[in-house]
Amino acid sequence: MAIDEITAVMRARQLVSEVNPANVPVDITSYASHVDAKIHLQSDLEPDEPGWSFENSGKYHICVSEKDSSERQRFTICHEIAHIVLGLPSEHKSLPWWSYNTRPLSEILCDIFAAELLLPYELFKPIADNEEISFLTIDELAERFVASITATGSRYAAVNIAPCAFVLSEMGKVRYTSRSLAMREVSAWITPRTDIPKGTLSERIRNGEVTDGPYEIEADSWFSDWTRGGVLLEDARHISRWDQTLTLLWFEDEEVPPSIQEIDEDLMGLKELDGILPWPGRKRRK
Amino acid sequence: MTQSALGALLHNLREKRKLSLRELAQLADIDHAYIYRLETGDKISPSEEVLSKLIRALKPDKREALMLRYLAKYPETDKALVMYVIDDPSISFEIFTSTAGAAFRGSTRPDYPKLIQRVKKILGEEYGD
Repeated sequence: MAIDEITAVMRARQLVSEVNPANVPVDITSYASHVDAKIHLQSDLEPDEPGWSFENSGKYHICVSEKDSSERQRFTICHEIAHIVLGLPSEHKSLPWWSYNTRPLSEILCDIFAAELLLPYELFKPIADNEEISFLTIDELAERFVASITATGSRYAAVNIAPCAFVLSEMGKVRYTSRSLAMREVSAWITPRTDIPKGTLSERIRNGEVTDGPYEIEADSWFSDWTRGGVLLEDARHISRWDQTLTLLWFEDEEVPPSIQEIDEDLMGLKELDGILPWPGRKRRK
Repeated sequence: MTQSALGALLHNLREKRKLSLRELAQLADIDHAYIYRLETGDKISPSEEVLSKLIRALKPDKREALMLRYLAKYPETDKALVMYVIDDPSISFEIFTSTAGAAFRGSTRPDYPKLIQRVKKILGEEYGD
């Protein structure tokens, strides 16, 4: 059966509910035990070889590089658990592990699954919703959950109640955007594979400018076909080692600007009375 | 057509027994064109009946027979791994399946000798071999 993103998320949440982690950071070994996997730390893995796994007589073995940071080890373990639970074979052969450029879908699904385990919705969302939107919050959450900034930022935007988006760009091009529900509902769309917009903080820090955000930027600088206007707040980080730029965007006062239609309706006020009652529905009046 | 791992193993076993396609077809009571298609990768998942007939005719050892059945079930298995394992009888079927099903995170993939060595080491530590 082909696995899509929703299935991957549902299976991950099922595993989380079965293990029912209560504390932050989540105990990753409890997930591994639940799927009958043993974790091995290995010293002879290459720098671009964070981990691997195999099955033997119904028992799984997950091997991670002992040289990696605990954040990376934890994500790798969760990624390998995804391979086990989803039954997805490993396809990647020659791409950088961090690249979303042309990564096989199975690897992206395993990353989505891994983020669900590492940053469980029930534990992560209440904390994310209660903190002020900022990159600093992402830093703090990443530290608290012992997860990478990229994984945490992506999850932070996805579950946030406020209108915000987290953008991952590589080599100056947008690769992936995670948007909150409020952003998705108003079609705040950032076109993948396009250049980081000119004049944005993200572009400037990628070009070596040293500056602290957030900065204000017209919303249509980032969003495609955006007619609502408004000003976004933008904060960004650049990881030169991988030429990755991480961007956090959000609306000030956590409100999306109204559309022209919504403004018109506001100005028009209530509809003129015409003697026809809008309630109850036609069927009931018969 | 890319030759499958199953096709490569069938071809290898047939050559070991010095059989032509037609001779194997006669021994196994299978159409020679179908065996050719299996060997070239045009067909990848023979039925259990066809597989049993081929195994009877080719007389592989136990490990090779198990590998044939495994490859019919997992046609995406890397041919290079199968050929490496066939050439080294010290690699058990169990080690082969663990290696063939390994999943990786990262761009660097170890070569098969190294990977097999790692699997053996972990299983050795696990079971005290």
